Amino acid sequence: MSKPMFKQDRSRPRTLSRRNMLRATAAAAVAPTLWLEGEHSSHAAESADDPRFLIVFAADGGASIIDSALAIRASESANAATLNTFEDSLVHTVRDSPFRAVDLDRNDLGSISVPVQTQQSEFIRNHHRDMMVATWTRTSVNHAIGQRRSVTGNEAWAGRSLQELAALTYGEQVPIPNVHLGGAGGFGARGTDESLPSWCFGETVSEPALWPLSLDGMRGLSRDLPRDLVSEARALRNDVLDPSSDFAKVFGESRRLQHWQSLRGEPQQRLESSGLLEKLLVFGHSEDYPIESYGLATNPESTRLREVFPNLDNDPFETQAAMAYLMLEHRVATTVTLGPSSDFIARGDLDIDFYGDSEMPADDAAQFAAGDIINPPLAFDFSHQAHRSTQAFMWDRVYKAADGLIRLLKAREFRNGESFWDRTMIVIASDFGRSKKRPEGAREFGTAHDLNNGMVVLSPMVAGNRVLGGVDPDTAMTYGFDPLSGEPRPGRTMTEPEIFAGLLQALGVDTTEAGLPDMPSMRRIRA
Amino acid sequence: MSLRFSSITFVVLLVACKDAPASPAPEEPAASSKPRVRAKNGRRFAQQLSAGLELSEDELCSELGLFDCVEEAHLVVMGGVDAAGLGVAVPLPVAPVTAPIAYDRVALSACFERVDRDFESPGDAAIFGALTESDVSQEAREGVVSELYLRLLHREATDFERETLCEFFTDTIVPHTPDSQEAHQQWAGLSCFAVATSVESLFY
Amino acid sequence: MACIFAVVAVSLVPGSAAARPSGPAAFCEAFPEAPACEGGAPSCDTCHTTPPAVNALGRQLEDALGPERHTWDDSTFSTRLEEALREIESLDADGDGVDNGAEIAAGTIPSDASSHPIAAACLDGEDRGAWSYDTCDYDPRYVLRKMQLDVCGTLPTPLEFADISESADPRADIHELLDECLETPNWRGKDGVVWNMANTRIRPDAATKAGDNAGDVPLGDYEDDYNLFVYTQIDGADARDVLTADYFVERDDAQTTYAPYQRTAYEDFELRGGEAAQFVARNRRAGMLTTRWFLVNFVMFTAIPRTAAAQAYRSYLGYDIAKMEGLIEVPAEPADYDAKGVAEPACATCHATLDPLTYPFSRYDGLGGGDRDDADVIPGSYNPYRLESFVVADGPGVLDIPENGVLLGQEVSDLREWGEVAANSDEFARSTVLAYWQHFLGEPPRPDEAGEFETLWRRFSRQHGYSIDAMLHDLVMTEAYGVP
Repeated sequence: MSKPMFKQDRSRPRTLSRRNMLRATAAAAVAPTLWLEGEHSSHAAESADDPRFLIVFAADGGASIIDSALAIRASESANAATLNTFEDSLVHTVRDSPFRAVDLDRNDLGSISVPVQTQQSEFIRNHHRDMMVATWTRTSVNHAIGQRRSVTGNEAWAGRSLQELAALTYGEQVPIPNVHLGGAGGFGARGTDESLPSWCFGETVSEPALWPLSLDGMRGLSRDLPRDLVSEARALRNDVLDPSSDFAKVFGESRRLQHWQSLRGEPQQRLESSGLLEKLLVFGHSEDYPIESYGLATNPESTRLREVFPNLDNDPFETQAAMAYLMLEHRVATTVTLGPSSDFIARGDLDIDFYGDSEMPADDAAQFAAGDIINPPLAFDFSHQAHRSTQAFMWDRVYKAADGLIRLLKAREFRNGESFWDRTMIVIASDFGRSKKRPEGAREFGTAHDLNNGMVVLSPMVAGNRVLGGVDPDTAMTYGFDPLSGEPRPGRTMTEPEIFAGLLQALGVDTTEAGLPDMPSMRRIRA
Repeated sequence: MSLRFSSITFVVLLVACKDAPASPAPEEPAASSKPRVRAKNGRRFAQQLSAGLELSEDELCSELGLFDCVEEAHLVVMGGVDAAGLGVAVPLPVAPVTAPIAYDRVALSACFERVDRDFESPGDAAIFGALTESDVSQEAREGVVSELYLRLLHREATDFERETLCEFFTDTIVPHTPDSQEAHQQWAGLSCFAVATSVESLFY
Repeated sequence: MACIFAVVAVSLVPGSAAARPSGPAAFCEAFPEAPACEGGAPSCDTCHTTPPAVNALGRQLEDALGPERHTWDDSTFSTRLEEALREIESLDADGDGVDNGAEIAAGTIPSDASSHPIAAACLDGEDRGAWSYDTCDYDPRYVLRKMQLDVCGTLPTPLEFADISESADPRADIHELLDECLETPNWRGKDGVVWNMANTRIRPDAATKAGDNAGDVPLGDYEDDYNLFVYTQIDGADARDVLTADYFVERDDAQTTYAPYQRTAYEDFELRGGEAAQFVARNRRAGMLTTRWFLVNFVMFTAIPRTAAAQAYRSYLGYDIAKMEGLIEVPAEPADYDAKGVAEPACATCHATLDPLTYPFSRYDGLGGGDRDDADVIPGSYNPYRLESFVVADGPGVLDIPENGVLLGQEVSDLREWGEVAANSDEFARSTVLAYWQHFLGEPPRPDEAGEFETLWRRFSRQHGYSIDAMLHDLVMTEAYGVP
């Protein structure tokens, strides 16, 4: 394993409690409430004992629903040759499900002369009962804006994101309720409702393999330090030396210092006393990761993680997925956001001919093996260059990661025979769709950003094995559904606030105060 | 330069002061009317530790012996940026929950590295040489405290700070660690740590 | 801060439809003496988080305005807003014990509990020499520490503190030290302070970097962009060159020096190869707007590269259209030449500004697009015929896309003129200085600092010839920076 690890994305802060240690001697004439925490409703307290978990996949670059679950066969369309439709043989319908799957083998990934083999159908077969597709029309073709609106419903609820609301509802009792594991981009953008408790906002983990070391001030250092003495030194610093300094007396009321001091209190104690460091180590001991040489034990789950995610050493997305599972399993977080990055990732030292021909002669394909490409540049957005193969590749990639997480979560009991999966929702969020047209008969072509699309959601809490809405095969445009019954409505499209509301309601978040529409068709009716 | 407060602030000022007789300013400075500080990011913190402890920056702290704490393992947590690699274009606007722990790790590692070197080679000791003697006096410990403040905060320690850290030795370290040399090593490292991670050290 | 720009924009657009928003003007009608109005108009975050979302003060205003507010025209809204602002004066939005009116008058933030007037024991005639921080006046020792850390990256020694305390002219000493620090690698070098200020403008990606330390898919060398940016910000250079330069810049890390150069596309190709060469001809260059990296990443494969225009608008003029900033409607726009549906009412709100802003960018290729083979496209180049290849994908309307556009209410004939107009605008001066203010003070100007900030950016453009160095000499002398 080479170092440093992987590319992650912006972080967000969190505080658990307010601790004003630095009062100015020339006291304010008023009593400041310097770091307001949001009100903790009794509902939130109860919800914390009955949590739901939210996983957001940041499908960066435009994951097109008509290249996966709503794929169109050529024989169905009057305009097949000039629309993004597939040869009939490439589109599979999984028995007992309404979903389509595209299984595509190509000799190249656009102008990258490497063969790719993808199979969506296996995933659909295994998980269709917990899968829902909901169509919607987006409002921006800008990456950052589209990403953000995919998780805020276009600011439908005072700019709060799905993740922040999940954290608010279920995260009060956990150390870091809302975690962004990188590749998050606009999907992890901080919401704009500053009245939320600070612990609702996302905390970025930029290096999953090493980040656990920041959960304890002493473990894993090259020398053993007596924990009780270090604690005494900290207390001396926090409670005696700092307050006595002129610097603290002069600037003690600054927000930054207040925040810093609050982090040094209960949050730090909770993190260190929970023994989370080793529980969150994804990798076991190795020459490249010599944790046992530093007094740290290999996580007993690392073997199982490696079975489920065999590309753990090379694929940052799989590392994130493994970390996401550990965070939920150990009740570190309530919601985790992760996703494939925009980096081009290949296995080993490959001589990639990026500027070569778009179609490789069959006999040259043998020099590279399928699977040599782990992530194309720009993720789904490589569709600008090669839509067909990029979409097939990336959907397969996303489905594989989801499959791994579902298997792990299903195998882990939450309580009373209920698994973690029973309480989890995976949202495959994306910026927007892709344009629907292609040059006549082209097997590979570039596409632009497009507002029209659909979303895949995986959860026992949603209307499983169901397509809400549909797609017109003659235009390749998706259309909406009746929010109450879920019946298709070709004359309408679904808005971002509507889908946002439906996801929250399926997750068990009370949306009453937000004035959001009721979307019962999106949630599963439990007997 | 005009005094920096508005008319309303003046009213908010303890009105009784207007009628109070003029007096010398107190020795302690007044609180700022617009308290505003900035954090030293990991790189700046590392430069400060490196200069103060006479260690090169790559000697301060490495995770698992392989990953530089400041430039690699905890880069973003400690306020660093890596726009092209990690996609972090600007420093985090608010310190994450693990930030204090990350700074603590760096300081503990660096301070005890200095302690180890000084105790291993007392003749070349940079800071803690006086503690390597067989009989260490209170004055020697006070001198070490003074040295730490000068090196890390670039100012004189106050009497209170000297007394407090010396009492930390007698009241906390000694009961825990009977062996004198080991006690002084622990005290040296932890005093260094406490000063290095004070808010005055981490912010400005 | 951006709403100030919008208000200014109203006065620059004769006879146009209403520029938005009207809130800041209404605020200053209600509170003409407020410090926040010294700079012309308060910032949007007085009432908003990210517009249109509101903060605590904004919520109180919404309650006072009532639900009918959505039905009012701009004039009615402004009038009612004034009334509502006066209504909520006696309330306390952030619960810090100081009512909204007192906070507004004091220049603190009524929606932020950590911002409130604090009693300061500053009385005339005191000897505050023993204070380690003179919180009542400009404190040279405080400035020395901050400035040396901010610019040089080092902490002053005890001797340096002593020297400035005893100096006969400490401000002169600070000016001298600033000049020294502006020469350091920490300030001007690769990965230094100025360099990193360009991150959000350039948005580098190691995976697609060309040149030294090339990535797996080299598309362009963003170090050209960083070099150009830093060059325009140091050594008293005219910062407007960031949008008008027709040259590129080389860097010498050993000396931390930067030097402009001229090469034709062919010469650059011969020297650096096809992956890194700059292909825009000299007479078509507009500073950072026409570098290969910018065009490849923001124009990419698009006929009307709205992302490119929005990035430039945000980066150099401080207007984020996605946050409804800088909206200046242009009559008969958006024309929707590429049939993207942007004329729909919900889209036109922003696209009426964005589309005409973008047209001058439409003659520059990014990576290709349309029905061309991308291998036949010269990446990051000026190509007046490129739109012909987008007819199949985007419709025949693309052939009508003009090269002229509208920026800040002013017609511009091409991208070079776009750069000129932008660089000479108040918005550019304000946005440029704001970036440095935020570096040195860690946050945007507070309401009671609005006047001082305005003086700073006006002097930058009107007296300092857009020299960053000269502006910084002003900045370190401000009360905002110098009073603890």
